[in-house]
Amino acid sequence: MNLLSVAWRNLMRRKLRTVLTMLSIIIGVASTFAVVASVDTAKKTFPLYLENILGKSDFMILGTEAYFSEDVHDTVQAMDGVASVAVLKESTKLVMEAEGTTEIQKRVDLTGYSDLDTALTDFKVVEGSLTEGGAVITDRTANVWKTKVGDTISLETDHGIQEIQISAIVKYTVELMGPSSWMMAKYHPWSVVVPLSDLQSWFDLSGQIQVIQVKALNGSEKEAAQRQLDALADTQDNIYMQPVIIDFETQFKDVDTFFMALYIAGFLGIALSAFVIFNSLYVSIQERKKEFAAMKTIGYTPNQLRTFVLYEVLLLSVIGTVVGLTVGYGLALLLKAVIFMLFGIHEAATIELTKGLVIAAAAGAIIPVLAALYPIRKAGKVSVIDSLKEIQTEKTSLRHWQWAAGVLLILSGFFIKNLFLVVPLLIGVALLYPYLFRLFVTALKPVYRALFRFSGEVAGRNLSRNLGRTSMTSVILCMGIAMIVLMSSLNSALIQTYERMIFSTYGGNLDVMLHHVEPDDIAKLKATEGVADAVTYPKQDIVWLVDGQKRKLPVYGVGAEWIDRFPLFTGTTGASQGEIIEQLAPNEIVLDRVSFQLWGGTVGEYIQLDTLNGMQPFKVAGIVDTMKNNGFGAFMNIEHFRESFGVKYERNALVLKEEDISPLQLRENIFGQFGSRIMEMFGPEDWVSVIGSVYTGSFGVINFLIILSTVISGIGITNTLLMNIMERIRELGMMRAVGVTRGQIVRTVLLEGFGIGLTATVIGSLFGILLIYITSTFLEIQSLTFQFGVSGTIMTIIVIFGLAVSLISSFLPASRAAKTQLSEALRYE
Amino acid sequence: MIKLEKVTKVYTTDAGSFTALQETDLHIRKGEFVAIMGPSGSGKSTLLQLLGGLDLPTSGSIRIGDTLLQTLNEKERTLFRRTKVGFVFQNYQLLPMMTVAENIALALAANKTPKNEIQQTVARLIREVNLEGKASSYPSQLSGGQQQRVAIARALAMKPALILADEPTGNLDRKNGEDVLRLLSRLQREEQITVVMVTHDRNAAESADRIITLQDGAIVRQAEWEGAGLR
Repeated sequence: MNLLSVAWRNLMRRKLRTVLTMLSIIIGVASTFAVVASVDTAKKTFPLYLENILGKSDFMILGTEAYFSEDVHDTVQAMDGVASVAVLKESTKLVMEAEGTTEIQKRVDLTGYSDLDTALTDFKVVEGSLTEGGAVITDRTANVWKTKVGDTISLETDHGIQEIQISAIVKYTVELMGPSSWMMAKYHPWSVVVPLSDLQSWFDLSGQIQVIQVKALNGSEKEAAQRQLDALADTQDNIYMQPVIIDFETQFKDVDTFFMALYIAGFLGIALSAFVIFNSLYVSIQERKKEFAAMKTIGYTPNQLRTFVLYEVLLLSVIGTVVGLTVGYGLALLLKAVIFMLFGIHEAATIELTKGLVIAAAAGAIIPVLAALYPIRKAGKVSVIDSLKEIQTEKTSLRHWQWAAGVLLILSGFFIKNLFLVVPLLIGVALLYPYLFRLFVTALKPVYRALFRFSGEVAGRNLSRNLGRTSMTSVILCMGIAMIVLMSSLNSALIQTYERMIFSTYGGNLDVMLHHVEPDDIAKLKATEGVADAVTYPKQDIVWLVDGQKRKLPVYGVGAEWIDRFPLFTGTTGASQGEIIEQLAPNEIVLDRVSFQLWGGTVGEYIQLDTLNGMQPFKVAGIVDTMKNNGFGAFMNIEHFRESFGVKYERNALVLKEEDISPLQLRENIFGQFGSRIMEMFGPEDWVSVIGSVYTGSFGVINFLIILSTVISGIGITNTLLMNIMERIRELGMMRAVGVTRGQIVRTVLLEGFGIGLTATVIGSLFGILLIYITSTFLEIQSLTFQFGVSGTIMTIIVIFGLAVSLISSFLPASRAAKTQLSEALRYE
Repeated sequence: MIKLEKVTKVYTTDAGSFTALQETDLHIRKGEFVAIMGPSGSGKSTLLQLLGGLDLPTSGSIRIGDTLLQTLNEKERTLFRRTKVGFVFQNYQLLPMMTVAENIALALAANKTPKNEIQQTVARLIREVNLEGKASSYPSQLSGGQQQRVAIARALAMKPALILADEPTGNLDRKNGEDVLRLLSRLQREEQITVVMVTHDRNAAESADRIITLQDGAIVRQAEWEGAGLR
């Protein structure tokens, strides 16, 4: 006898049930594969990407003033073992006819390179050539401008309008970041690269540059290169050298928390499919009791009977896994693209499949077998006499250990300060669920009776039958609902917390970044219509030593007399911002909470910062909270800042607006004053929007995976109702025979399915609120905690979703029940 | 009261078509107790199902009272069954999660009968089938005979003109079977309900006024009681 063939035929006896069970395995395997593969790819690619965009150079020569002499570059070029490129940046405006666009949308950041075709720029040419001496734009920009190689663009310069031919179109890159449409150009300027000499002549900056990027030709000669550059900086008092630091942890803060949440969401699918498999197999064994009994009378041993069932499970798992891996591959590609987009990674990385494939295949093979162990065991234990005499086996009552274990596991969740607390909590709720389900149904019955009369009465009674199977089906949806409640509420709470912090530490209504601030700029700014007050501040990315490693720390120079009006941080000791800054000695600094935690020291200890005089110790005088620079930085008294780091010019101005002017009008007015000198202009609402979209996008991905798992619960409800109908087919026939209409039967089945879903949605929502409460006691993202709170809108949407899933899942079984052939039903065996 | 004219029923299966009833003519008077006998596959159950409107004939006509069954749509036939026909099955077919009283009230509840009326009807029927004190019991707490009496009470709830019984004594011992047959006979006499009973049991059939024997989808013999014997 071919066991596989027998197993296949047994599965085909209940085609729909087999398809639904297999579908749950497919979804579970696909989501597991997709999550592991995409996260693996991200973990491998993100550091490489950062290395790629930031690691093109090893060192930078910068000036203490806005510009320094190009002669320095000549000296660097003459050094052994290094490659270098000189860079100059200016802002200007495009002269182009584009319908419906304003002047602000034509801002252009021009970058002049002494050499366009170098490993230090590493432009990937799509069309044209980098050596022709013309302008270089990205493919994204060319698409929006509708220009090609050979076309001419016009730019406003100090010497009037200058025309330059486009000599190359390159692949979009971080150095040439620009908007993707004219609409987005309201917020971001375009980027164009030109030869350095052209830029110098257009803006009367002949022989002047701003940055020299340097790379050691050989990795082993990096130290030698650094020594040469240090020596050069020592000979000139208007330049300094900074090593290029690739700080992955700072750049991708909290990415691990996101990945952990993704893993949980991804594995939820395969875990929930285990419930569906258990239910399906269990009922199948019950239905075939007489067959097993008959086989035993022929002489089959219990193990032989178990083997029959095991082959069915193996067939289900193998087919489900193969299809699931195929679907999972597509899902992995999609997920990878979304994750990369969320983190702003523009990299066509190949997807890392191996680990995901192994884990998903193992899960697809093992979990169905584990889930089926109990039913398989039962198949071997069928009693011949009881089955042939149709003696009903005793109903199993709820076990007390189950109740106790469930409570203990839920309580344990209060002590786990980690997102993995959801695992024992979910298991605890699963164990307690039959009790909760029974309680809820008891309360539901009178409501059903009152609202739906006959159909409600019968549906209410049916919900109490097969309690084990029905509650197990319901718990799947319950878990999905709880996770969605948690993630949606986390998303909303985090964004609200961010919003509050961003607005309270932005330093005003607008932060304007100019190429460099000139002496009369502040007066001009204050005189601009709509500006109530303005102040400039210096900011520099300083190299600091953390555990012997060089990292970058943004340091802000802050004035004690204006910081209270333009708060860039909030204190943690009750003192005002002005008091905190006033009390700082020349070698003292305050760190924000994130950088403080990263450092790992205590208040009063010293950190090492790279100054004009090399690495110097600075005492950490206190901790503050800020969302400036995405919540990572340090603050010093502005006078001490200038002394320590020698930076003589500022680029940023904080602006407070008058009450009766809108943020957009303010920007227009300021742009009208300063035009193309403005490099960036952002308000707190822009950051809220960026942060909001990143977090909403991240949680959206997680919620998508959880919703996919919830589809499994819908499959479970359909499967269970179909099994219930199959078992009660004679009852259905009898009811139709005594005059119950098809419509009443349909309503009964729909109400039964709805009841399963309603119970799950209510209990799941309450469970989700518990999860929100527990996570609010420990979860920190970017050192921000969030307050416990439940949004009515979110809960309403989730409840509607849960009820919709249960109702939709009930349509097919209800339709089946209504179509029952009476004559067959009454003779059904 | 019941008139079948040239009723034919053909079933189509994967193995081909099969004629369960062929051009059957039958007339049953109001208040008559008819037993239908015959070997397996003779068409007994098919005839019962057609009489109950559970299925429609392939050809021919079935008239019950003033109603021509084939002119009714599916919903109309359901409502017709609810109010005019009572079914009694071999396996009782009680709902296990409902009490005796609730099982009896099933059709009344489906018909949205007011609660107090349901209560009165159920109480009366429980007395009629000698199940006093069992109203709150569940089917699993009753003997086979008691369960069948519940099924009969359920069939009577809407005061039907016709009761269709499919092997009502098939799962019962002799004593219980006799009790059920006596009950059916009493109802037929006292309430003038027409009873059509399918049975394999010759003894059970002798409770009837007339025995109709089917073979291969056709009526091959009809015998009525006259005096002490069948004619």
